[in-house]
Amino acid sequence: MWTVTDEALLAGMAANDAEAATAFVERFQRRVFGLALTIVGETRTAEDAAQEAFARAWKHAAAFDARRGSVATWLLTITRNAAIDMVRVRRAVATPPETFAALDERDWGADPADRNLMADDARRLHAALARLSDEQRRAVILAGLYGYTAREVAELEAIPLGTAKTRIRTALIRLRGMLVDEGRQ
Amino acid sequence: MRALDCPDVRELLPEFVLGVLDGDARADVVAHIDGCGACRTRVTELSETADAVLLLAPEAEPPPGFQRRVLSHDFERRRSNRWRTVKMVGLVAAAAAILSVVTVRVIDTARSGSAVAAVETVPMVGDGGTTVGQVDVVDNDASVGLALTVNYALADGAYRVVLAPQSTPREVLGTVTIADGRGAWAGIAAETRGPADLELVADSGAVPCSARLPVR
Ligand SMILES: [Zn+2]
Repeated sequence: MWTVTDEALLAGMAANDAEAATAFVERFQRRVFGLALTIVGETRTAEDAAQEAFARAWKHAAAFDARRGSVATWLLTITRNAAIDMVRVRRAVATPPETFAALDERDWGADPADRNLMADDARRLHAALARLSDEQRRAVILAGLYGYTAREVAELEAIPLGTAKTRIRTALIRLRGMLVDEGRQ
Repeated sequence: MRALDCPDVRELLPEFVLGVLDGDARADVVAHIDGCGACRTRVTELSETADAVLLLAPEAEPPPGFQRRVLSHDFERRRSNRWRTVKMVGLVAAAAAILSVVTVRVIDTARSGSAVAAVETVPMVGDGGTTVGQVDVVDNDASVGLALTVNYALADGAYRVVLAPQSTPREVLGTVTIADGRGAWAGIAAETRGPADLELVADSGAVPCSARLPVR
């Protein structure tokens, strides 16, 4: 079973093949739930978000376009959107997300201990993030992972809106440059 | 609306690909990249990086029974004993009433940070899980008011607004016209039983987006 590609499992799920759907959920549930939990910070809501993410993936499986990225990336983006939809309404803008402290206080100089589906990609990302300034790293994590707008980042960091936008922009463009360089080596 | 040029758009692209640009600016960017291959290529490049940020979240073991619940759609049953469907009572006056309720809700939210309990907002979700808009659902005693807003990534044109319950036939509630990526519609449905989606249906029969209505 482990040799079946992600794309094949997704196609099977689109065709309502129960075995494929089971294998698909089995393969991705820890990653999906982990991302949902990081964003919403609480088990019960995270489970709802993760369930919703799989429901959306199931519903849109036939529309997946492999030319636009991997199944895992597609599913994680769906998960992020589902999780953010659930917390956006009740989020207190002036406070950081509950799980953010752990990321913020991480030792960026050390190797990540992450054990996940895309460990190699994660390690490269970690190395690139380590080279950003603290402010840039916080800005891109708040926006990219938690869905904080520039206005919310500005409020949280007590900085002008323009500064928040610049931090987000600079951080993402620098990350892009570093990940592309890494990929070429 | 002033059309954005490439340098304007490039400034906005990082926030755009991170999914944190507000509705209006987002629609402006969508309109631009629709006709600009160079900016579209840049979107693809930056999106890869934005996607990578999601790898920061550590894996976590879901609660026991999670997999079974996903596969059995137990989730829906748990939340959905009594959602309702449809007999279109849709009157212009009624639609206006809903919109005013929604407006009150928005004002109230801005002031106190809490929403009026009778209104629930659910995302309108398009291909790939992109949120293209939202539906405000107003729960009255014998009917349900629906106010739909679309502001992102939907092709211009007229779409039928279709209520698609799981257990009863689909019903066309009205039509919404999307121009410059935006559109709005409001109407009323009488209550019935079971889970239901609100779908936009193109002339071709394609369903580019849908919302899962809250169940009570
Ligand atoms: Zn351009």
